[in-house]
Amino acid sequence: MSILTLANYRYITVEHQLHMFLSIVTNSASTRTTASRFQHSSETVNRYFNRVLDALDQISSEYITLPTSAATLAVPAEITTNPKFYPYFKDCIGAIDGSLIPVSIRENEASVGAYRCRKGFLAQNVLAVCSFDLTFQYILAGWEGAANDGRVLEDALQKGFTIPTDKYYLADAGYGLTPNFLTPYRGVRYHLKEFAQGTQRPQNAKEIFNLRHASLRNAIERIFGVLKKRFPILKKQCEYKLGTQVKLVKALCCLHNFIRINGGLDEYYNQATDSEPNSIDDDGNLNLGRHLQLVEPVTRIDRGIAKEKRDKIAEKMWQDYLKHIRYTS
Amino acid sequence: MSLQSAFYSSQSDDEELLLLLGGIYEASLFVPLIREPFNISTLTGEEWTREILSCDNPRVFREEMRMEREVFDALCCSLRVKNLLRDSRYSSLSILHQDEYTNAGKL
Repeated sequence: MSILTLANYRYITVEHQLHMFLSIVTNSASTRTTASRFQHSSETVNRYFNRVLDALDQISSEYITLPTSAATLAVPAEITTNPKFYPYFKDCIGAIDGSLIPVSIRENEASVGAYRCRKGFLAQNVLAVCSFDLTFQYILAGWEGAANDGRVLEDALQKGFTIPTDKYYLADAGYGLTPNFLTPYRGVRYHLKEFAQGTQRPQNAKEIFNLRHASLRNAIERIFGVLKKRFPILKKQCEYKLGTQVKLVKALCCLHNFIRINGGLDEYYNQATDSEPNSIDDDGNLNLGRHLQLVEPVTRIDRGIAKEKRDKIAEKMWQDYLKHIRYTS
Repeated sequence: MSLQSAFYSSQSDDEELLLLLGGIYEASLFVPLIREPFNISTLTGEEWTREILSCDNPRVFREEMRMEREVFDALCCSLRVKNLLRDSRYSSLSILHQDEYTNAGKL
């Protein structure tokens, strides 16, 4: 005999909603798996996944912020406390880079070709700006994987990524040199690996600039390392709508910042700090020449100013370094 | 009268057929209600979450949520305060077999 009944009312608490969301993003689990783990229908899991995603999206503007106040624009402690960086990089407030996050594209959503990145898989190109204490300052997700980093940056600058005039970020050689984005010298040793292999010391001003640029810019490689380690879903294609996948990147960066702000350094940061310097850049030297067609909306004057600025820093570093060597030997 | 002519002979027969089809359609609406239960685990998702939340070992929590307990609490609190997420009550209409129903009552 069957009885028609209203099955017991149940509360889905906020904790439970978050638990489901975290279970998906930390295990890169499918909706079906999660539904079975949590004993809900796929529809319920999806609904709450999207609610949490929207909620995180809403608070992202509060937790991912560009430095504007005097306090946030002060010289970062990571620079002041390290004589290799201070005073040379005292106006530097962070680092930028693009990262390729795998995406899945449904047939009717977008043209697949545009999302095929230089590494061969389907990806979105995510521009991230981070400070040296490993918090995100700005995120622009959703660009096609085939787009080059310079183009994405240009778009970000139009969409609200602003830099105080006298400050700058460190960027890799894939970007154009401007007064606000200092890139390394091209055609000179750059990657930490290259320096680690040979015991040879930096030989000139350009080399020492590149070495220190690389080790300071390393923050952006580390932050991506931490992010992808904590939320492995970002390393894997997931079967959501494209819009959801784009939103997810920003939401997880927001969550990263939330954890960073409320929890300080936890084990993920420590692990990443230990392991990253050797694997600073899996592109290897390809990195230097990876964008042959650079989009450089900079005027020649700006370019000149930037070059002068970089030369000045490099020269000062080199002189101090020579002094240091003479003093110690 | 052949079967075919029974179907096509008169207006009233057509109407009967429509009624019959309508009946089948209506019956099919109830099929999902009497399907076999799918989520059969005694540990519901809510209970599992409660289990994780009430565990004394911080490592259990960290492994499951990939963050410290305090951070998680702060996150829940901040989303609640901003009214971006709320505890939501949901119920599902289902047909339970008599014995399941009485068992559920005992639990």
